[in-house]
Amino acid sequence: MRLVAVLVFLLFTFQLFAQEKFTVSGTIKDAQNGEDLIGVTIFVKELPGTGAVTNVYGFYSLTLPKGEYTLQYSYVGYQTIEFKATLNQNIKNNIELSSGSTELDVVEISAEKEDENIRSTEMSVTKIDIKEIESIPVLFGERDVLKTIQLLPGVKSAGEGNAGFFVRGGSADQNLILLDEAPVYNASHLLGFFSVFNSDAIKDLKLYKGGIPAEYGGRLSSVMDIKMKEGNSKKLSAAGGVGLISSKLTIEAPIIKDKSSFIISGRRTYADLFLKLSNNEDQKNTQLYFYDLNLKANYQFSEKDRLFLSGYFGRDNFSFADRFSFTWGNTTATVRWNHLFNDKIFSNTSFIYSNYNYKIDISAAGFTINSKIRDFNFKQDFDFYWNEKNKLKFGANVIHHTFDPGEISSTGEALGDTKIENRYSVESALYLSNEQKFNDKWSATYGLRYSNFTQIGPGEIYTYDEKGDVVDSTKYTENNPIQSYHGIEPRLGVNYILNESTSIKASYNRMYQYLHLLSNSSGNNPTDTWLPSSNNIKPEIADQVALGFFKNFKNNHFEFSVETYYKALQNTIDYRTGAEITLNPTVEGEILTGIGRAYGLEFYLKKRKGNFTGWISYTIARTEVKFDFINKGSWYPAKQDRTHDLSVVAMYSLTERLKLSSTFVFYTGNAVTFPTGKYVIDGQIINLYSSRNGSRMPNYHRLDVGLTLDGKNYKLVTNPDTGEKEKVDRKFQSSWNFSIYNLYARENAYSFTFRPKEEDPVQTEIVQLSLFKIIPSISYNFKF
Amino acid sequence: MKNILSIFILFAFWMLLSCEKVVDLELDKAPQAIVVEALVFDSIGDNYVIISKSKAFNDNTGTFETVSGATVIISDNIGNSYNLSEVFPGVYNSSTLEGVVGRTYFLNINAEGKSITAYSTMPPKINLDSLSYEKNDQPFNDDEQDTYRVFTHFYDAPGVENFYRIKAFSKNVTQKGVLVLNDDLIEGDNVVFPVFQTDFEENDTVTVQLLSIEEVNFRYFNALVSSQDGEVPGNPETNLNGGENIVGYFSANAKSQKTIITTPLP
Repeated sequence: MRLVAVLVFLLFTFQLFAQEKFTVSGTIKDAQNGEDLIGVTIFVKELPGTGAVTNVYGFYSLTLPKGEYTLQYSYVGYQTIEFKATLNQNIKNNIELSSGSTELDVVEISAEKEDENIRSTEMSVTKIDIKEIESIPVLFGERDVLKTIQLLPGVKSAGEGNAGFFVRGGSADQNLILLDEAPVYNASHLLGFFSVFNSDAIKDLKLYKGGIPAEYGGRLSSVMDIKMKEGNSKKLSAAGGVGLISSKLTIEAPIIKDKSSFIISGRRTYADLFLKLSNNEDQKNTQLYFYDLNLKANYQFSEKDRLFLSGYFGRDNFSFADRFSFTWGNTTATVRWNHLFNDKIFSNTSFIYSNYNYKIDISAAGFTINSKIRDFNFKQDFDFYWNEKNKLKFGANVIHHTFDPGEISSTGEALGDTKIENRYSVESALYLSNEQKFNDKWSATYGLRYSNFTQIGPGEIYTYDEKGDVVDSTKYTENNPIQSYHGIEPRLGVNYILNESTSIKASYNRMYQYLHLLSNSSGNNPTDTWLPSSNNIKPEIADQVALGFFKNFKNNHFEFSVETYYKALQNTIDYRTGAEITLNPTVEGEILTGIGRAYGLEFYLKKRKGNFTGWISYTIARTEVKFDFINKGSWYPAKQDRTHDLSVVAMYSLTERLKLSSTFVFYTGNAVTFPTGKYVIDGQIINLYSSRNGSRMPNYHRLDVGLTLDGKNYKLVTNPDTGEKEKVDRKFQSSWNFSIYNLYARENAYSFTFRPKEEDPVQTEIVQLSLFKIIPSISYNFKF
Repeated sequence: MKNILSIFILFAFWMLLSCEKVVDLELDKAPQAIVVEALVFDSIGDNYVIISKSKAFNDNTGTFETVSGATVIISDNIGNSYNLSEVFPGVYNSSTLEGVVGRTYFLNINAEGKSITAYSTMPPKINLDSLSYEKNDQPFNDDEQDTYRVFTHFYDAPGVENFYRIKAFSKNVTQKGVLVLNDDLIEGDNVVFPVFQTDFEENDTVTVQLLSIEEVNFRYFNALVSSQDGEVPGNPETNLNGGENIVGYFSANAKSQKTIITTPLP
């Protein structure tokens, strides 16, 4: 904590020597729909290198010495606005920016707003432009931000049929996925073929792979921060799509114009509706669908106060006649209050609820299984725009977790009811971070996060011996602390601008993770359960250093970056051989802790402008772990270890209305444990293994192509003033999307089963399961 | 119209269904392991030690190699020692060894220059009271022949930790998998426990053995089953000593056995 004191002191000293200063602040919105614009840059023409960026609520604040300035507000894809300000008092300046697309003449795009990747101290950050993903071909034509982000360097798909992803060698549970600040514990639908994020309701997505700012914590590898749209505060509008297996509709409208608005967005798949037409009774009664609903509303009470309500509700349902049903889903709700204390201090207070559960009902066998994880979460964040050089963020966060690993209730005479006891814990954190511009060349973001995790009662807590057997148990009463962990997490990011198109960045971060996902696959399954740190399981810790080189060339037509990272992991988890991790009350005894290391090199080249756009991303990496009791204590590849990972995305505008796109993906197979031999015990064939994760899945590759045909979305109108023809958007806009997933029908392996042959159990066979061979799809999207 | 509908149904299924096929997959080569399966029971001459070798997973030619000419000695903690003789290739037996509950047995094998040792203490015997059977519901298949599930009835001795292995066989059916259980959920109960996974036919003569086994063997079989099904694959920990590339187990068992005939039920 002494470090914090020094930091604060330093900042105060800066202030003492300052001259008379005033602040210009405000909110920046989209002129068409009133959405807050995140990440708009504000430059001061007279003071190169000085500026501000809007926060996630569209708010900015810039403090400058008294004087006359020209402020330039710019945002990619929007018209730049210049504003002359005479700063002899504090100024409130709310701005609305228009998107450039309505103009016949291409809006001249100034260099400044497009080299944000060079100027920002953020490194290892991936942003997704929601508009850009519309033309990328995807499975079943369902646009998916989570799938798109896996085409970027350092982010790897956990595999087909799996919504999980690996960031820089981290496992799938090391990603913090936030939807309007609420953690989403299982981001997959339909056994991983879709993510829970409906792209029509999403405004902004940012993924931190390294140099993670101090305001985030709780996961080792990455933070994916997803913001939902606020809803159109200007006029009623709608968007929707009809696809082969799903449809969706979004409606947004002002409640009070420019003050309050809402958005409601729903989606449902209906592949199973076709089964209803079957003659077979069982097929008729088979259900396989998901739906989800995003809701958000906001209300501006005053110039200084604004309230947001947002919620997500999604559910998957898979049932087979009345014999078997399996449902799972997330529910999140967030209430946020923005308050401006003055033109320099922006505050946000959030109350967050988040829940994930699954239920399996096997009526045929007469039993049900229920499991859930539930969070109540309070967050207080402050943005303090100290002066033109320093921007401070600080805040606190408390989360109460309830883990309900599973309850089996049986109606039949089977083995009776089993309840795996609930676990409770409180996770809290304090953080302070500062973004500082030293001069034209140097800038840095640095901060500290202090986190604490306390396991609390009630509950019967076991202790285990080295073999994983229960040796003792203690009963704790409600809210009684059982075990506590805490740690300081330093965060640092430094940017050095070599010239206006080149920069070098470096970062370091330490992360603590107090929750562990028990998973028998490398990705996410609906039945995976979260296990809190406890008297037996220590928190996982990661230290990451990263170095990157960023270059834009050909007038920002091209963007290039290369980043390298090294991560050291402590208390990483794996399981004992033969461990049972599903619905096991003494699962903590099955867990081994060890150390890990991950390193890699990421390349990214993107063409941003012209008829031909797209990118190539390539990662070469390694992730290894070491456990005393596995593979005789030697280093071995982690499940998610992948040597090569390549993605190529290409988009080509044939005409103004017709766009072709294609995606190619190649990656090394995951590390897996395959048998090397077989032998006989009790007359049965048993697989012989030689080492954990000693084998590899075959390499994966796939080519997808897509075609987007826009409707006639504008008409030419003669401007009566100038006599020139101008494009005017039609009220109703539409597009058709045709795509083919896995064009050359590669049978990529999903899994291998090693088993005795049915007809001759003395012989064995290897069976490969592949999911999607070649999947064409059509979808129609519209908005008005 | 009907055609279009059926195309849609086909399409929906095509999407839902994945593709499964038998493949050739090159696997890493590993050194051959020696496999030992050694059991002692509480009746005279009822014991056997099977020594064999593993082979490459993809090798489907011929049978598994047996290990002949090994020296196999089982001794106990009160000074008896028995030399087992090879009765079939790779199968060793002593006609005079009679296991006794409570005694510890020591296994000593010398095969192909390797010395393999292990020990096991015979747990108290739990008697199998009776067997029963019932007709299986066939929830997913209505048209197949009726099959029967056999149940064991026994009384779990209270106050002690018991571990069981249930072996079942009949003329027509071999047991699937290995069935072991502990008394965590049945401590001191009158137990009715099914012979899981294995369905018997009509008019089958089914023999079921209830073996009392040691915890270490219970763990071994548990790990053997779960590591095959694959949450965390790997070789189960063995109680055999003798270095690397040795798999299998040594178990002293108290055995109780009954037979039942599955005469058809309505």
